[in-house]
Amino acid sequence: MGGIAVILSIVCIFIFLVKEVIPVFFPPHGTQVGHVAGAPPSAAFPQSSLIGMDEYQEIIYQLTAGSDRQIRFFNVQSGAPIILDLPPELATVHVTAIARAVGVGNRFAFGTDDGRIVPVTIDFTAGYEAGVRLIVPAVTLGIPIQLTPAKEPIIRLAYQPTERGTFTAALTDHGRLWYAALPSDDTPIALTGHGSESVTAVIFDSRGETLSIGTAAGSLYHYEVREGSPPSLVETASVVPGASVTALSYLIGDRSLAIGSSAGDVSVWMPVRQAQESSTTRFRLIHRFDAHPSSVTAISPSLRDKGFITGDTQGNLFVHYSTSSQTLLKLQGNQQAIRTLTFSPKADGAVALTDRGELLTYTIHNPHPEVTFAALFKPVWYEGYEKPEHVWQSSSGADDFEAKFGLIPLIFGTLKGTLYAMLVAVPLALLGAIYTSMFMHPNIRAKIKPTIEIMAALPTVILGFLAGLWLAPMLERMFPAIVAMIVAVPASVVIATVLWQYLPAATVRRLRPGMESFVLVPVIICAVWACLGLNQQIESFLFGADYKSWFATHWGLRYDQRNALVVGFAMGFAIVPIIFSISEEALSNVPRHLIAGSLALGATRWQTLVKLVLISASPGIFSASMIGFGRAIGETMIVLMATGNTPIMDWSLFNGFRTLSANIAVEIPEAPHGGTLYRILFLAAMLLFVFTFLINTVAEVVRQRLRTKYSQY
Amino acid sequence: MYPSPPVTQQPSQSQPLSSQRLDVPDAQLHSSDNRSSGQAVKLALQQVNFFYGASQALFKINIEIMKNQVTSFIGPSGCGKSTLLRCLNRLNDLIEGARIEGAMLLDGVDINGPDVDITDLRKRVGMVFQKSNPFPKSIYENVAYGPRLHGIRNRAQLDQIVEEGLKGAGLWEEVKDRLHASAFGLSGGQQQRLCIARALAVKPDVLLMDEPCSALDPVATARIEELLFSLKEELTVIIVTHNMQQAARVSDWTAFMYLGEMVEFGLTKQIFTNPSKKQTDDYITGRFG
Repeated sequence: MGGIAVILSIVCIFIFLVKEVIPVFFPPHGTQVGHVAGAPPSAAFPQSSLIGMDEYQEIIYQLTAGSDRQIRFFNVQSGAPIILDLPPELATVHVTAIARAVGVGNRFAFGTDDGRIVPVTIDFTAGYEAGVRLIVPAVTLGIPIQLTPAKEPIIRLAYQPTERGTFTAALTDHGRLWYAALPSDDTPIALTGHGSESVTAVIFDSRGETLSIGTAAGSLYHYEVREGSPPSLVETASVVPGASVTALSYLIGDRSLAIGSSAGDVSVWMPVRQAQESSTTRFRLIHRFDAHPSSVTAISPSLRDKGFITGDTQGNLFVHYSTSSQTLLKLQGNQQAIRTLTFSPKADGAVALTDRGELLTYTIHNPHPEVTFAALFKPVWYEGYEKPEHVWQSSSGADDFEAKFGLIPLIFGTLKGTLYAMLVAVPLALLGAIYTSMFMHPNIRAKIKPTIEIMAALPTVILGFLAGLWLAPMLERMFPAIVAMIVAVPASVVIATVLWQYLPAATVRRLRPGMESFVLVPVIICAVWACLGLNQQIESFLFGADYKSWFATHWGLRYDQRNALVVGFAMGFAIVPIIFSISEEALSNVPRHLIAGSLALGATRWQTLVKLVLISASPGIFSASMIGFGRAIGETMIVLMATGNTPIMDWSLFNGFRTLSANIAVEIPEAPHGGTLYRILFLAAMLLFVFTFLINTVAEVVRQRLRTKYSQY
Repeated sequence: MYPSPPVTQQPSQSQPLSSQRLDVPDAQLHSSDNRSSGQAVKLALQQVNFFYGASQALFKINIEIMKNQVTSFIGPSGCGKSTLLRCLNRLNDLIEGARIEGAMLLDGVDINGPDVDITDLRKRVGMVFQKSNPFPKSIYENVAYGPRLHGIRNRAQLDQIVEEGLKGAGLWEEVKDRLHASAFGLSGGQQQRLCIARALAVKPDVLLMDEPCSALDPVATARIEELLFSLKEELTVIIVTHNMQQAARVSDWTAFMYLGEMVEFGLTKQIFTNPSKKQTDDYITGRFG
């Protein structure tokens, strides 16, 4: 009955964990929900229409060039347009290109047929009128600036206002590319790096540091932009060989550049450092996504994460996620070419403008775009990395941060901590159990066992506290002494034992039987004390002057104060009692008549131990170790306080790590309920659960097997 | 004939040494009979006292065990038969507070002497326990356990020892096809004979048997009893038994013990037909015990 209740509650816990975790693996879904008749874009000017959406997805706006000189706003539900006329000073010109600035709100620029640009800002203010929320758009026009000296019509435009000035680049219908940084140098500069190739895309990044130009020959030209000096061409890359670049867009953070081609290819490129310490970077293809069946016409990045949407000439809309290299969703179109599109500010919807002037609205439900099985467990090529790596970094101060949810470093950390703890605990506990059960005087044994079991009652938070704040600095200071102790303590015990043989028999007899081992206590204390006292001398003898630099130069290891060594000792201390207790029990339960049988054959006690007792007790010793292992895997407080919680993958004794359990403890307060991080932390919990469950199951199976093999009763 | 008694000899013993050996005149008579018939004393105990801490378990035990004979110790439970037996291979050393006084001479050398190697002694004095105690190993490894301990590594040699041991214990024919199967697969009687084979494999001079048949059925018991007749050609057997018929059947000599004292020791025929002590008579006729 009790057993069933236990199993039932374990199953319930598991079901709860699965229920919390599983939504991250649900495929995203989306659909086209409506359409509003907008103004058809001009066929002559490719960049002459722009659409956008407010963050509540209530208002769509369309900026259209050509002769109508109007900005249209549509209510998504009713489709009713609000039309704002352009001011009279623009009455004599035609708008031929419209550019949106990246990452600075709704700021735009109009390019005109006489070579001027006009900055435009649209603001939405939400107000209440009779209990109904009304969103009121407001348009502000800036002062026009003459960009092309020859007053040629602008057909493509890039515009980026920054704190350092406003950067603009414009392509004229004569194929000339003009650049100006305002207001510092108002003399436009002609950019000629692309030679005779025809320019098909021009964009700035959001900081206005790079100008990227895509051409019909499939090449990408990167200019470095600085105020006070002309842009310099820093890199040329052939990004879509055999096709032309048809759409360019920086993803949030300005590192990843999404490129669409006339062949339908969609890829993300990043600057990658040539070598570890090198500062020179090269543009490289990092992620490739599912290709569109026809030419890509527009790319719109998400303002929240590394996702983006792409549209093509057949009206298909694809949703991609850069970090995981995944095309998450493919919405089939109705053969109407998409001219331009926009991802809604919350990345939960989109609006696309077709060549016929229809505005199509979509809802996209994709709450956990960054999670795929591969993103969690396989190396991922993150922005700013030289190669694909396993990284855990769930959050940072910046909004444009790329969340890195690689669980492998945490699993690695868990195993590393457990391994070092086992390396410390198993020999100590097992040898202690052997001595206690086989050689120790029964009177002392009766006291020792409960004493060691009391160790298990020590709260691990105290152990972790001591490990982090006392042991870690002490180890750092006394590391050479600790190394010396590994040799000195056993040596002192051996020497003391040898000397014991030469003690006069009268002195030996004065001791109560079984008290011999206590004679070793002062010997060990002396050895430890001598090592600590000679720390300096040992350090200069073993490691030259400084052990940290010795390890750095000889083995290339860096010493962190909170490291695996500290955890090995502290967590080893925490699991010694349980391993000791169960092993001791197992050894003591080896039938006395078996031991007598072995001794009667002339075996020494040591031979009996090695050849008979250890074998007979092996099931118990094995399960003791496994239970210790299971405890170490789930241990939280010690690793939380003593590891430094650095999620790195390195077996080195001298640096820290982060375990699954500590990671949950550290990050759960910062994880918004139901968010991706929240669910991934539940996934970490589920992994721990599965680990422990597997280890215990395997341990029990092996124990049963050993038992039928090696024990009689 | 014997070296001088050890220092632990009780000072109250004022009798001459030669008459201390046996205080039962009949037994002395038999003993001289034996000597005249060419038999030698294998093991001689002189004034042996044994203590578990403060309580004394054996009182002034004197006995001479003849070579290549079966000697049985009988007596009611708790009379000290097993304790005495365990003294003979010093298995009592393991017990905290155990103390022994008196001389125990194996081939004339005191087994409690400071120069005696305890593992060497146990190799010479093998033991079979009341409850069969095969090791959690294969039949082969059980028998090879002792020889391996004493340094025999050669496979062919081990094979031969194992075969001889199993043949000596009358088990070879039954197990020769499954030498590497677990010893736990054997029946109780087979297990006990395996333990005998294991003891024989280290080639002891003396085999101590502590109620070896008490847990066995009559058929298995009969097999072990038969075995004793062949074993005594090679070695000296001392058997502790509760079963007086068994003592009468298998042993050449019988010692009756009561409350830690050796009441009577003599030829089995003598003890069972014409005991010199009334206590012995009462016990073997079933008036107590």
